[in-house]
Amino acid sequence: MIAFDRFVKQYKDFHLEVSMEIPDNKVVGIIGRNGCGKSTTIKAILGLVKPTSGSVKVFGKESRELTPRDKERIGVALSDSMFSSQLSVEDIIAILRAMYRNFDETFFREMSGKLDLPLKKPLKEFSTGMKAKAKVLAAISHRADLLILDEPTAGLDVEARNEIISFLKEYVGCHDCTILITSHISTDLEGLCDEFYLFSGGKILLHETDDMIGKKYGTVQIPFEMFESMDRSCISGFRKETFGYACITNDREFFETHHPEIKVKPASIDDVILLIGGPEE
Amino acid sequence: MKGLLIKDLRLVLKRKQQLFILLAVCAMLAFSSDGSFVVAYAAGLTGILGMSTLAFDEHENGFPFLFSLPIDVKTYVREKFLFCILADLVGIALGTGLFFTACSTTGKMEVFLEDIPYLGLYFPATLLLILSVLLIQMKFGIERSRLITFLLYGILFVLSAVLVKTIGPIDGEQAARHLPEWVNNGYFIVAVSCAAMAGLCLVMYSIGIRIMKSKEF
Repeated sequence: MIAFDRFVKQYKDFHLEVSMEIPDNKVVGIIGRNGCGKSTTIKAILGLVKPTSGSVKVFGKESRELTPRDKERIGVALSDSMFSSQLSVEDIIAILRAMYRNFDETFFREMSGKLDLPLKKPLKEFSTGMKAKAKVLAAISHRADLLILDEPTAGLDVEARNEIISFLKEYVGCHDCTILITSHISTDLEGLCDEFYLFSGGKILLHETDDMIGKKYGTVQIPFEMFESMDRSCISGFRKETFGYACITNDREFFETHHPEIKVKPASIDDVILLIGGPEE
Repeated sequence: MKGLLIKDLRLVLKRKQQLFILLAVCAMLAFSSDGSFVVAYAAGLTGILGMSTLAFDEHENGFPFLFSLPIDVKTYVREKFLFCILADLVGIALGTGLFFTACSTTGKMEVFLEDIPYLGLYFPATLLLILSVLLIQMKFGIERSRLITFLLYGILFVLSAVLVKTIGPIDGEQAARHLPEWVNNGYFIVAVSCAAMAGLCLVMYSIGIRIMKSKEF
């Protein structure tokens, strides 16, 4: 569905390097801290930025050569960009109806009611949560084959986040489509994504399936003296703390066999971001 | 393109207060001034209203989302040009309507009839102004384009003032007397101006596409 082939985007103060493939009918999460290159990756898929080198292909075509017909197959919700805030949901319905042949107006109106989105109010009077819901709704209302959701829950309270995530889970359950979702809040993506990419400093640090993160990765706490003397090849990341080092391993078995005195806990995605992604810049 | 036109039309219609002021100012101008200036004024204002939809697109970082919709750069530029042309035509129609009303109620129909062939000249003139500013806005963004437009028109004003001072004022009427009659004809002048503007429009349109294609969002 999407293929990044040695894609490089060079800005004055930032370098992004991506090689990845997003297969059909999978939900793929890109996680990483703010400024790690998630949004630029999304923009590259949409043809909004030109690669410095390499390529990005969507539906087998260079992303900057996607036709309006191709774009009809994509649903997009961006974190910092939307229709003009002067427009209302009613206006958005009229625009989407004219733009997408598959626009499901009945679904849109029904969901607007369920999500408490007023039809006549301009978007500028919406709360952050309401705007986020409107963005996701606009993205999924035309039966897209590819959904691209950039930080759909950024800046929302727990309740609004849960509402959007359960709304997405419901959608994924009923539709065959590929979803690429970015977030710096890992809990949003747990239970939703099949695969994860961890970005840090413009590079992919990790690519794993949801199952493998729990099975393969574990967190361990190692005292200073032991940490200095041990074989650290199975440690993917660590952070110095008062008692010693908080580490993440990609080989839980190694610790269970060689260091049974150290307790290994299954790693969460947050642990992966914190320990492999490195300290926040 | 239909979706973009709907978006822009709805954005303009949201500005009810400005539309009302525009109408009131034009009405006042029609009844208080003698000539057909109101036609140019109305066309200029509606053209600016049409052009301002670009500012709405750019405002709050709207371009990335807009270009994720099923449109391409060509369609976007084409729609912006079309919308500005339509807005300008609405202004011409509005101004002409007000000019006619003012002339007929004040018993100056001969002024209206005399000016009819030349009313068409306001269309290419105002359109040239609007589309050139639209291109500057596309190239430099709304904030920077204000300064650039101001500077550009300032330079043009100074240049024309210097030109007039150097060669003296041009006597249009005397110059026209030397032209053959079929050329010195209101309808012919309007037709030639509109045809020239159509050609210029195509050139400006291709410049607009190049500007937008070179952009990253």
